Amino acid sequence: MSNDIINLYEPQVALPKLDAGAGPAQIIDAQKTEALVAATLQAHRLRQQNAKRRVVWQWAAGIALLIGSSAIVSASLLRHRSTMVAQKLIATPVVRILAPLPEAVVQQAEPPALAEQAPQEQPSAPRKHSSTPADLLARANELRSHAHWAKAAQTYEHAVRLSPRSNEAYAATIAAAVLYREKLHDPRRAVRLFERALATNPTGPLAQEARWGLVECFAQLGRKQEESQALKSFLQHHPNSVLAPQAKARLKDGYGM
Amino acid sequence: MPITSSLSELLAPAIKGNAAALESFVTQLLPRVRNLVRYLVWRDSDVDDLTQEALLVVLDGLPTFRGEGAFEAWADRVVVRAVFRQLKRLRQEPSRTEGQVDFDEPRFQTHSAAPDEYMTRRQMLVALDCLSVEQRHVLVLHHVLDFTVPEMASQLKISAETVRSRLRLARNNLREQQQRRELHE
Repeated sequence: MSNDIINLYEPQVALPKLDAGAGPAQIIDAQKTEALVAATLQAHRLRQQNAKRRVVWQWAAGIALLIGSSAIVSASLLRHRSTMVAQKLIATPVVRILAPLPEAVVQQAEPPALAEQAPQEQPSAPRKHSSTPADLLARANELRSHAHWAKAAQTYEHAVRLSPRSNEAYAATIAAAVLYREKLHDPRRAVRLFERALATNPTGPLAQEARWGLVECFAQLGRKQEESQALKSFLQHHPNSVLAPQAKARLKDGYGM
Repeated sequence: MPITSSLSELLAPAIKGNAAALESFVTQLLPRVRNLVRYLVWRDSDVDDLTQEALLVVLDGLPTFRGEGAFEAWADRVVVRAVFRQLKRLRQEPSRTEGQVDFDEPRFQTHSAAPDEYMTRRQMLVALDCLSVEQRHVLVLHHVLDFTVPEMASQLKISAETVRSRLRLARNNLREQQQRRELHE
């Protein structure tokens, strides 16, 4: 290939505009495009739902704050009144003490009763994050986008555990496996996840990724026999893949890298 | 241009929440955003995550698009802002250093281009990767997105003179690369 493909004297030529679909990004196949679009739309829907929930929660919080403030003001007013009554009672001759106090004052002037109520107002159940598989998948995607690989992988696996048969679990399994292989240097765990994804959905949209992932994991682990089997399985299932020539070459070379 | 007319046609129904239109809209916009993101970042492996983030920002902002000027130009600017924000965050990750290119990482996408496209893309990135992050960004903003110097100064929060200086240095760097190449031929 000639070196004259781009002329760096002219950046405007060397760096093509985006309109014609030109540019430096890796070209991706239709499946990958579909997966990216689906993930983006799902994340968008979640963001919209969360935004709506936030608005509802803001209203709820506002109302709760209003009610809480009113309760505090009422309580302090009543306490103030009861203190005044108590002060009056102290200053009142003994005979007057025997007279019954107004009922409202008795009720409000008993701090232990209020103290007993306080713990009951706090919900005993721990506050839960929204934890549907879709939520977890979105959370994991966000963690991954911030390069929190380990947390992202754990969150993907959490999504899988929550609903192992869902579409989200399938995507999360592959995503976790890729992270373990590429970022967390744990190809053994990646193998288990890729194999699980293939067992669950052998013809799924990410089957190619999973089978190639297995090839790479076995290569990383130096398990030549299994790498060879994985390459054969890849070629058997995806004979027209863009990676098929590479798979054939690796098999021919004695499945070495 | 077909992509422009299609995006424009899809815009209104997408904003109204028509699911099919939104899907087509994102599908059409995806290659443009991926290319722009790759122009701005060093790693192929960062492209898809940053693209998704940028697309989400574009989708969130759709209702605010007033129809003044081309949609693509508006979207490009939104993407640039989103990517810069993400890059700033990513730079704070201690394990990340720019300049480590994994262009040749054996991934599906790497092999799906025709050999000449692959080679052009590779050369383009090799050229860009020789530049500093500052030079790379001004070069892309100016030559790919047609940002003016004041626009770049505003976007990058630097003076116009600094923008001009970075552009000059970037072009000089590219020229030197070309001269080195010609010497080797």
